[in-house]
Amino acid sequence: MNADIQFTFTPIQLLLSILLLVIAVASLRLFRNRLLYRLFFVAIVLTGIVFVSIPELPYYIANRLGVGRGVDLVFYLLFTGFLLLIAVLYRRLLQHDVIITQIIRQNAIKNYTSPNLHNQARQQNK
Amino acid sequence: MTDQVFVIIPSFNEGKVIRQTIRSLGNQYTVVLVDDASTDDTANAVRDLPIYYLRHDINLGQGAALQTGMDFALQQGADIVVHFDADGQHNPADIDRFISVLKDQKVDIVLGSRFMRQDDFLAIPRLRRLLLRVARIVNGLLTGLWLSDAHNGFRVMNRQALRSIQLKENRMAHATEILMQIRRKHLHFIECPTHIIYTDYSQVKGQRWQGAIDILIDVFINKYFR
Repeated sequence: MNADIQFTFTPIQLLLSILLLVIAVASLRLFRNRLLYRLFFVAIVLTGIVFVSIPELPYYIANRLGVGRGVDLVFYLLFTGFLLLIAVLYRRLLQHDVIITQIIRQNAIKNYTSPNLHNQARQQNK
Repeated sequence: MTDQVFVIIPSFNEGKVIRQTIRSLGNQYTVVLVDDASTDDTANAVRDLPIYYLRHDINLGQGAALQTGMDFALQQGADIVVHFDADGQHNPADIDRFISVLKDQKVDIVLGSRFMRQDDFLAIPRLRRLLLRVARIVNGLLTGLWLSDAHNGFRVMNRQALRSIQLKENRMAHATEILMQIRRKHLHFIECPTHIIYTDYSQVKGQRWQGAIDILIDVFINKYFR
């Protein structure tokens, strides 16, 4: 990597970094009691801040990995993360479906109505 | 002692025909209507009928409604449970015939088939017949049970099957799921010919080919991702 990397922030770098930090703090609040989610999110945000601060870094890593451009590397990472997110959320959705089904079912069974049924059964048994 | 036969009818917006379907069953069975959050006047249509009426607060699907009915029937001490469609497609006369087969053949579940008698399968609309043949192969590959029919909603089961089967597929993929569970839980089964009446009404309400693809995806998701 070049030794003359500049650490001075341009206005857009500063803005993006602040935005990412705000997202990081918000996510820490959002994912209560979910350490793994929190760590995952913070890792992503920190990576984002580092990439914004040192634009040469993704390029350097991409080169070392043989991806080509730094933008491609970021794109691949984002794409993979996006698919992972969909899978995790979908799984969660399925779990919620199961819970909702159980609640609705219990409710339906508890609140059944049987107009005339018992009278008729009694008559048949006579 | 006579068996307690529970006929479970899952129903969603079948207000126009549900009364007629239930009345066609006569008085000899205990009818459990599971109203899957219908938005029509289903509840009013059956209000004075001698049946158990259960209602889902939100629409969950036919599989979920059947399982609700089965849980209820189990709780009420059912000996035999019948799955019966709300749209009047099934023949009430088949119930006793199937129950006899269930007992005589000493099996746990009797599955209706439209492909065992020529008259029955000729009554199936041509496109649906083709779809069912494909579904039969898919079912066979997925479940290892090679039946003559696929997705026939008419089934009769004993209490053991009732206890063993737990449907997780809320929507139409439950038909394949039942087969998977029959195999996994080593239930004894047999197919029996049944005649389905395809009215204009039932065809409009019935499944379309797009639904078949949805079912396939549901089955895959349930089998590999849950």
